Parts: sequence; C-alpha cells; structure tokens
Amino acid sequence: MGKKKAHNQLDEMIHQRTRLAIMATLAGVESLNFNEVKAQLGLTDGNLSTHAAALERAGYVKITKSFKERKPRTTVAITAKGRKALLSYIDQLHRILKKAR
Amino acid sequence: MNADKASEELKVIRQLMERPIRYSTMSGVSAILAGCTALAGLAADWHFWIRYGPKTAVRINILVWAGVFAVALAAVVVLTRLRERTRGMPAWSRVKTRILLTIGAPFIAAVGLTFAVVYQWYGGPFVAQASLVPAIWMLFYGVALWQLGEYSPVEVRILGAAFILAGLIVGAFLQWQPYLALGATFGGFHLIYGAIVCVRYGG
Repeated sequence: MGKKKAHNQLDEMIHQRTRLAIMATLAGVESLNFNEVKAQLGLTDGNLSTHAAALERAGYVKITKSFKERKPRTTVAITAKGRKALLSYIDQLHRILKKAR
Repeated sequence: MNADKASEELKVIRQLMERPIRYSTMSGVSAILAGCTALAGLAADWHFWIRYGPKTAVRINILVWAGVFAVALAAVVVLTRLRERTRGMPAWSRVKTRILLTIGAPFIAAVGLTFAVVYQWYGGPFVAQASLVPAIWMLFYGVALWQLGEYSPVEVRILGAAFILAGLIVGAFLQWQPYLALGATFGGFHLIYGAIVCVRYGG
C-alpha cells in the first residue's frame, strides 16, 4: 500500500500531460473507442495503451474489449472514481491560481 | 506547480472537455419506448378522427401529439439520466448545452410553423392545409437529428435523413394520410432505430 497523498499534493497519475488529456477527453462522454481517443489526441497505439492501462490500474478508467461485426473493438470510459479524481485535480489547480492572485 | 502552469492546464482541460466528440446516443430502449408512444398516439388520432370528424379532430390531435412528444422526451431523459448516474456523470454539461442549442432552433421553428398553419386553416386570411403539419414535424425533426449527428454515432444522422426524406414524400404525395404517416415515421422509424441500437450497442 502506497503512502497517503498529502491533501495539497497534485495527483501524479493525472498530472502527466497525456493522461490528463485522456481524462479530460473522456470526462464529457460516456465512453469512446480507442481510435476516437487516438484521433482526438494525436496519440500512437502504444502511447495510448500504456497510459490507458496505467489509468485503469489506478481505477480511473475502465477498458472494455469486445467484438463488433467480428472486428475487435476497445472502448475506454472514465469511472466515477476517475471523475472524482479529475474534479479534485481541477479544484487544486484553481486553488493554485487563487493563491497566486 | 506555478500559477502559469496551472492556468495553462486548466485551459487545456476546458478545451478538451468542451470539444464536441460524441455524446451518448439516444438509448435503444428509450427509442423503442418513443416509437410505442407514437403508435399509441396514432391509435388515439384515429379514434378522434372517426368520432369528431376532421375539423375538431385536428385541434385535439395536435394536443395528442404534444402529449406523445412530452412522454417520449421524458422517457429519453429519464433513461439517459439513469445510465449516466451509474457512471457518475453530472446531470448537466457544456455538451448538453450545445446539444440543446443545436436542436432548439428547428424545434421552435416547427412549433411556430405549426401554429401558423393551423391558425390559417381555422379561418385565417390565407389558405393553408392542416394536413401539412405532419410533414412539417418530420422535416424539422429530421433536421434536428441531422445536426445532432455532429455529436452522435452515425445511426442518428441516418435517422435524421430518413425523417427528412419522409417529410418531403409525405408533404408532396401523402397529405391525405397524415396520421398514418406520423405513425409510420415517428412510430416505425424509432422502433427500427431502437432495435438497431440495442443490437449494436447493447441498449
């Protein structure tokens, strides 16, 4: 079990640029398939898979593999835990801005 | 993290969250419910037409179809919200605001034109046919769905195109069967769409 994050520490899982972009892209929709996320963010297959897997291990997204007309189809959706973590991250950013004013 | 970096990240987050990628499709189940409601509306229309004759029936049937619309909309909203809650999605979002703005104009236009046509038919200074009303509804509904296709899977756009085509055909050739046209399109098309979405996306 890892150390408990201090309340004012940014979530390192989301703080990474690509993972932040994935989370923000998924926040407004129910789910997207991998190709849609790749197209939106200009990522390669490997890049997206690596970061999506990391987010899934953290419980922030759920990856579902299925078949549609015999073609494999991978969809990714933000979880309730992931949405909460993203909102908390956004709050922390706002607090940083407020402190600076 | 410094304030400049925080500000930049917030900007990126806002841009990505507001980008119109794809909103959730109207669920197959809610489309099937909407189709069934439309068929019930058709049955009620027929009853009032037989019982009261065309002049009175038109007035009543506009209220019937307003009711059909309200029930179908409620089904879509409730089922969509139930599905969103299981994923912790908020009740409102910028994407939903954009969707409302997209379909708002054709909806208001359809309501306005309906009132104008019916007013003329009931004795206004110009000639108008109340039997045009179903075609008007189909056309504007089709346009709204077509626009919504910007944020939705391709099935929504196809449904929109089907309604536009049906509206043109009904307006040109089938004005003498307005209720059947309404039932076949709002009832039949939604049932077919709902079945396809259920099979493809699991409901």
